[in-house]
Amino acid sequence: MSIKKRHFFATTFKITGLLSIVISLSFLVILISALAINGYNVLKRAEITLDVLFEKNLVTQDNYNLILNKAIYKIAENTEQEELITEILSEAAEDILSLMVKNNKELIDQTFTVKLPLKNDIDSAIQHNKIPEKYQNIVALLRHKNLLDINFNSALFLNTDSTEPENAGLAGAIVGSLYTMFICMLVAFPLGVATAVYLEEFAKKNTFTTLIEININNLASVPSIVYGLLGLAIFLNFFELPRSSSISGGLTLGIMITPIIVVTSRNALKAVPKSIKEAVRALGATNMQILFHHTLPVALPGILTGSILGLSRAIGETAPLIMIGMVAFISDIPSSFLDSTSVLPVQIYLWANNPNSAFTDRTAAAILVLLAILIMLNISAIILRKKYEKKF
Amino acid sequence: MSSVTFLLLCIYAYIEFSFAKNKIIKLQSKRKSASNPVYYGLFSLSTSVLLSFLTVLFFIYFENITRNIGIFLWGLCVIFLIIMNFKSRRYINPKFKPQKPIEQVMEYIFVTAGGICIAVTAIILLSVVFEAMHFFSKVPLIEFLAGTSWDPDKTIPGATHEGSFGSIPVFLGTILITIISLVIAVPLGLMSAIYLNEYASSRFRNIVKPALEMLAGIPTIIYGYFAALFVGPFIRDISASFGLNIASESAISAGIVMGVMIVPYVLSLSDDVLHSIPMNLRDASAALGATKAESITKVVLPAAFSGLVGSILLAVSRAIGETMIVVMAAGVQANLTFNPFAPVTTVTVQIVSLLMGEQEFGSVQTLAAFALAFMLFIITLGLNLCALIVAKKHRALYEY
Repeated sequence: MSIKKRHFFATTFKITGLLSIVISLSFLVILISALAINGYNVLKRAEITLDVLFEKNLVTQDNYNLILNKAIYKIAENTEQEELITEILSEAAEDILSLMVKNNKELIDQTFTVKLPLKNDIDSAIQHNKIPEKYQNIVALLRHKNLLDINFNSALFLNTDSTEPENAGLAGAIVGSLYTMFICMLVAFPLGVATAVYLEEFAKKNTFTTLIEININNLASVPSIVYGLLGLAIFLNFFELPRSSSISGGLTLGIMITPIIVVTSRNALKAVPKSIKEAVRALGATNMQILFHHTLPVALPGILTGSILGLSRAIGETAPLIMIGMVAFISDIPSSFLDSTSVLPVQIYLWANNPNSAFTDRTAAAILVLLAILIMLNISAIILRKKYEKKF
Repeated sequence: MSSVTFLLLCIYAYIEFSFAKNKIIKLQSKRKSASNPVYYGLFSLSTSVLLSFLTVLFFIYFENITRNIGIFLWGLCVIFLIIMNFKSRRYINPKFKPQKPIEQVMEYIFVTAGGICIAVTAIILLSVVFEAMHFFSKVPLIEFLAGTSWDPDKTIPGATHEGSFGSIPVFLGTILITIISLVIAVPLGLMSAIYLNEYASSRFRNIVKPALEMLAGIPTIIYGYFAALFVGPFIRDISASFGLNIASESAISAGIVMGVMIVPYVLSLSDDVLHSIPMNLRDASAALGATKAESITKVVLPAAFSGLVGSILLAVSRAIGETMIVVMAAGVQANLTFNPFAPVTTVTVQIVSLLMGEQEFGSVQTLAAFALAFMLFIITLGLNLCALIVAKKHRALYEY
């Protein structure tokens, strides 16, 4: 081959390398931007302001339809407008009113200014300025009276899941995730670190321990769905824990990330220089004193980083939780560890499978929430590691 | 009720601990104590509260029997506390040496934790094997491994069980999607690793490597959403403009997105392997007049070959076990085909769909899911062991 050809090959090779990096990074950019574009619309929603009188006898009759109609009657100028307003209001409006009274009994026999959301297709029509002819006048009128405005969609974070997309929120899923992660770390962290310490410091080096090491290393790379089946067979079938609860989800995820924590903690413990341990032993320290006063403090950043990485893996896992039945429609915030709950990734899965396209838009917003949580976790892992790291 | 008692016991334990510690520190003025005051505190804590803790645990576990005798729980706990308190108080003096027994107990705790973890891993293995064996007692192994028709709900007249469980189309779907994802991931990951290792400045490397590793930290449900809502329709629209008729659920949309997901795994593993090749190989090749690209392709890559094979095997095992991307982007229809544009199903999708239906736990369908999971486990185990052996061989060659 001539020199020219060889140089040409050399430059093309280098460019191919750079190109592949650019392509890989662009995947990341495309992913994030597609999510941001789809999820951005969901952050705002159109709402109508109504003065609602919660009459006592109507509340006891549970007749929120009439309460709503009376409030609409106050702002409408004729029956045609009343009908139009009733048409564009969300079907979840009555549920919102009844939930307000349930949470705050003092509202009975009081007039309260409420902001009610509109039906989802009207909402997106208003935000994109493509209002159908039928509703153009009423929308203009309400806007003119300052009764219709586009606000931040706080329902996305404060409400639980609902059948109507305009009222659906992530509160139940986020609280469920918190409960599940609490149980998961309660199981996995002590068990994982203690096992790593045992394998590293106390176990004798024979074939049995080698077998255990291979076993645990393999379990760290077993597909997560196998753990879901495990949770089904052991926790739901054998121990008969409640299906779809945060305790069974937390235990399943805890078993899933224990091997990961064992592997990373072992690497952290291996990195502690032997000279420190030998020196302290020469001064007369017992095994436990070496462990607690010298080994663990030095290995602590690595152990913490490993646990936080395991936790961020557990937060995003869907498949094991689907196996233990977390796919039901849950519309309450869980109040104990035994209540049926949903978690954030499963909520994303349910919303993504919903045929209503409004839900798939909200899926993008929910994914952004999940990514925000993960980024915060990873940043805290990096900060913790930098703060406690000791260089040798 | 018992959780309140538990909490109160914890507070009492802390009080005991500090009480004993302070007592010893006070007594130290008369005679130096044999051990660190903390050990006395731990001794007093554990002896006085242990029996009461055990009683509370007993009551929690047997909740159904002991539901109405909560007062009994309180009474027992208080009695135990008083007795153990009196017995252990004699020991809190400078002559007593609690360090050795306490440390022995701590060591037992660590050994027990290790034992629990090992037992759990054994249980994991055994439960999957047990349920899979249960399945193979109903459906013969030959039919499972060699059959070509996967239809769990079909009733075959004259057969002993419901549904036909020939798993070949299911495994073929997994292999097809894995091959597509490798076609995307291996060139991209490998070339990126080569560039980062050989050509990039350290500043470039420090920025780009974490950014690419972020791709690995993204939960797979997000990739699944992306595949189902963007890549699938995109491929369907592009194929429509060519006149072909591809459904939005196809092997290729799942394969492309899975390939994007595996790129960071291939990249970081290959990066480690290339990093471990000693510099003198590259320097020797340059001394003989090779260009940098020639050194890489003719010297470094053949030297790193076994390590790279190991990293590809690990990426394959990750791809095989992936669930959410294929659940959302591929179909549930078991198709015996090599056509990447057809909807296929994979092992993981079948496991999910078999268990989503309202079947009771012991039926053939739910057991089939366990059998599939067992096969998945064995295959992943085999791939990981191969990767381990290959990586050991590589390390032996380069002595690190």
